Amino acid sequence: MQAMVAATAPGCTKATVYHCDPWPVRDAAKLPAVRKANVRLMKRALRPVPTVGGAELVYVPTPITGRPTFAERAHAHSEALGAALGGEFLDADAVHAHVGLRGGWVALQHARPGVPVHVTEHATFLDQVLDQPDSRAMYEEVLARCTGFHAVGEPVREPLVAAFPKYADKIGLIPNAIPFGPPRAEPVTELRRWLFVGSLIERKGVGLLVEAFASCHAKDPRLTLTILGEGGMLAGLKGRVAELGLGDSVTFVGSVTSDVALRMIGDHDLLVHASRLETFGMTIVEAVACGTPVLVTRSGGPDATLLGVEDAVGEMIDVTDDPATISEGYWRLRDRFPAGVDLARAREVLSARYGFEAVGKIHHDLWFGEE
Amino acid sequence: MRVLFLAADGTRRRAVADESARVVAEGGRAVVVIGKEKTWRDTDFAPGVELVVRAGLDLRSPARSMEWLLLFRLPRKVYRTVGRGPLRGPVSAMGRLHERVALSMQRGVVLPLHRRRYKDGPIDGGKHILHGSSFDVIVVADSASMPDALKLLAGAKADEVRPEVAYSLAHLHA
Repeated sequence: MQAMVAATAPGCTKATVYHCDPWPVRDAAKLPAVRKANVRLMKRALRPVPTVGGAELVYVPTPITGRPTFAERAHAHSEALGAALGGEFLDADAVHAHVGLRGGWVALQHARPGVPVHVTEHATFLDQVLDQPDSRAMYEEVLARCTGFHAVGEPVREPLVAAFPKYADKIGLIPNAIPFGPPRAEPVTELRRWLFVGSLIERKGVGLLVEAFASCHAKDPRLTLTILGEGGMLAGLKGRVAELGLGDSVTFVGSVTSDVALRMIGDHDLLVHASRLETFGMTIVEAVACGTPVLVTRSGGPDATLLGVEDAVGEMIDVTDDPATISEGYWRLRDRFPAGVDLARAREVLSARYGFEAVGKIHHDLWFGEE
Repeated sequence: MRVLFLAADGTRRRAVADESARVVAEGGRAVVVIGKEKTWRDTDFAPGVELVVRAGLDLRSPARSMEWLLLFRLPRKVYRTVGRGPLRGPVSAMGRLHERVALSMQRGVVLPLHRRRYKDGPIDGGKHILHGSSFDVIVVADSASMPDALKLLAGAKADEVRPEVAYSLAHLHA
């Protein structure tokens, strides 16, 4: 989202980001009192602060309890935003909403009538959203009322078109914005230091990655793996790493800010992304932007994101349940590295597609009409 | 900068630990009001960050301090001073009797009065923490602390500059 703001805020007279952030309430009985207190506190605590791209950010905590449906979450966000706005409409000529319900539906409740509302959808868990009757109905309302609806990849668009075929023409595709700063100072010369960036969950294939790393490490003990992220698999992964005797070669870093993550991508030799499903694959493009090669699964989003530069960025591998797919992909890449990749060309191609300037223009054309 | 972090629920522990460390590192004072201590067992606070357990807040209030002084601390000192030599045995027995009576009085009379006075619990009784210390900023760090923050701010005018209220230090200054 930060990259999206950095890409689109320049060129706007004024850009304001309302960040509604769910704050859990442990004791459900206290939710009404907490919400009431939050509304009163906002009068003193809400203030815009500068953020990227010259935009201003208003942070709106949104008390939520238990396991609400996605629609219930959207209602909570709408209530919090309504309180933050003091009953006024959003003061904007165009509204962009991040994701369908917590962004899109909420924006539609608070946008001034007649103001265009554009929604981008990124979620990998749309199947869960559409499985809930209230959330599905809310989603259909968003599709019906919004000015434009844009998915960040076919893996996001397909289930939506399948669920709401009458809006197939309205559901378009739009790229994510990726920061293309200067590439790393020293180009990668050997693929020794692996890096994983992402949630430590089954879908990210991080368990298979550890097994594949163990097999590669057995052949080349100089290899290291840094795992950056948190999630439910953390304890299990640490246990498995210890069991494999890789404690000295595998480092768990936990979660870090996006700036630190980008710096770490630039400090490693290879980003390994073994995900089972990706809607876009932002980290992969960020790695290429840094000048770091990637070993990445054909997990949906990356197939389209890296179209035309697959061999130039590193190696693409199939999604399988066999860690050998990853290790064999690594050795193939290593055999043809560095002559067989062309990160400079890939960077140029991807920058033209996903750089701030390119993506900013796409959004501005949608919001304000083509120049 | 003097910052009071209200973090009763401990649902945003990392942010509180990081921000309180930053305050202390920059030469400020950081006081963190926490709920259950065990929730914070795995959280490392920087040296110099002051932790206050929410339930114990009222024990620090002037009224509770006075109560402890009059019922227990002063009498104990008197018994210790007087109860020397041959008087030691009888004074010690008298001291034990006093403790039993004082405890009954505290439970039966003082605490009900205290509860009637501070209907909103420890935070209400602990308002002196805020007023006595003149914090520059109150960081409301989780949902459960929202009502606490309101109670602490009760009586403050809406246009009062101090203390500033924020949901994190990152959202403090324009």
